[in-house]
Amino acid sequence: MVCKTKTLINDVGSAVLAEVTSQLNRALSVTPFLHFVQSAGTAGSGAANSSSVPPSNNTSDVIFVASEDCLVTSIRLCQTLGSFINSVAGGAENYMCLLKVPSLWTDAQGNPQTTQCAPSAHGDAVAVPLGGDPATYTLEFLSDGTVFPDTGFIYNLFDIAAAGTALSAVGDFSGTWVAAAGASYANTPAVSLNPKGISMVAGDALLLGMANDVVGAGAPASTMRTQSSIGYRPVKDEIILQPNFVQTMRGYSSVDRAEK
Amino acid sequence: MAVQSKTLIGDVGSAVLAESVSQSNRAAGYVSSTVNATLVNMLIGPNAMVLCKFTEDVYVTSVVFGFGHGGGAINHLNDSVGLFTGGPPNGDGGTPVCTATNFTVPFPTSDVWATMTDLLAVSDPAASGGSDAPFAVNAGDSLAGVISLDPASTAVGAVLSSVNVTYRPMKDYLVTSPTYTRTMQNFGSVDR
Repeated sequence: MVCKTKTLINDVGSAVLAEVTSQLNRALSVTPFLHFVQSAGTAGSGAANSSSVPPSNNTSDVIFVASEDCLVTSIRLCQTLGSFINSVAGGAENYMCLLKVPSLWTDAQGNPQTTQCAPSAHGDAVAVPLGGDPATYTLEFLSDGTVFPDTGFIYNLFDIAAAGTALSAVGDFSGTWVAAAGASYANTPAVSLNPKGISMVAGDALLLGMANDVVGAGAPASTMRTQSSIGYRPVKDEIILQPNFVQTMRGYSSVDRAEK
Repeated sequence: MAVQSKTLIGDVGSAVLAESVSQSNRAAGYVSSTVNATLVNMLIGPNAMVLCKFTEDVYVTSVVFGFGHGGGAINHLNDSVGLFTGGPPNGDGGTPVCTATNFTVPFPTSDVWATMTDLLAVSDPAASGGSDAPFAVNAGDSLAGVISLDPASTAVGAVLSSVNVTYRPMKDYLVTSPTYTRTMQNFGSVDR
């Protein structure tokens, strides 16, 4: 199953029901800001289970797991003071990517993976672009660091227009859940998030990867610490009523919501 | 109050209302806790943590433990993993919901997601109790996870990276009776 937009015959023509469906469509839940934690401490990265990404290192972390179908509509990120992906070198050599990984998936070489977190369950393949066939994961976002705000700002990844060409050069994301240590894979164009949201199927996870000037010539960013907060629609499907309810409402009042 | 399953007379017989009720019943909220704790043995202290504290009645549908890289297996007869409600802020106490004890088959803790169902499958049924989610948590109660490890357990030193809790943000489950059965026409559905 996936999240749907359903159009229903408005068989009742009720203003109350129209309002109820509107509220369901607009329901929003947000996860609290959590520190990005580096889960695998292999090649090219710092210590496992650390929230710091030192210069010239790369890292990855699962930032959201959807146990049931939902629509992710915002990904708020914040690099803490003095540590940001748009580094003093301009950020062109830093990268950020976001993968959507199903609970049962195959890597780009067609190898079935049994656990989402296994260190061998990488999203890359030799000479295959990141996210290329036959991988079952989806590359949702990939950009260099030039388009990110400076330090201290909370920003929405959906507002970031990805930049850069021929990204994911050899070595970027190496040793993380995105790419096997020492793997080489083809360059990939920048990818921006779909502004309509990310449709998550039950069991899907969002995997965020960051490369802190691993292979570039620019000066690396300082040690990065990142926090993330995910906004999503807790109500699975969007409901549209057709025809729209048009009866003029009377005795309808609206005041600021408050506890009784 | 407690979460309830309510059966209502379907006095409108509306497909729109039936769909709205269905969506309400299936709404899901998530709490992802970044624990990032290195597990210690029970001589040093319990590995207890409050995962969330609910201020209103909710129905928890899933709890998943995410173990980090490189840990050993939970393998000792004194090892135990459990979920508790209503305990203090340090997570050590409360009413048990589900416990898995005496791991007759070692459970690996390196880069894996684990549910209580997974853990119960490899523990001693005689020493374990309760069942995995779903379960209700009353308003004001906390939900805690506790991992107790024997000093000889190979899981000592493993890392619990995160815990993901899924719950129903809508308090009650609604059922309309009679079920609306009129054949719908011109019903459209596309990926959201």
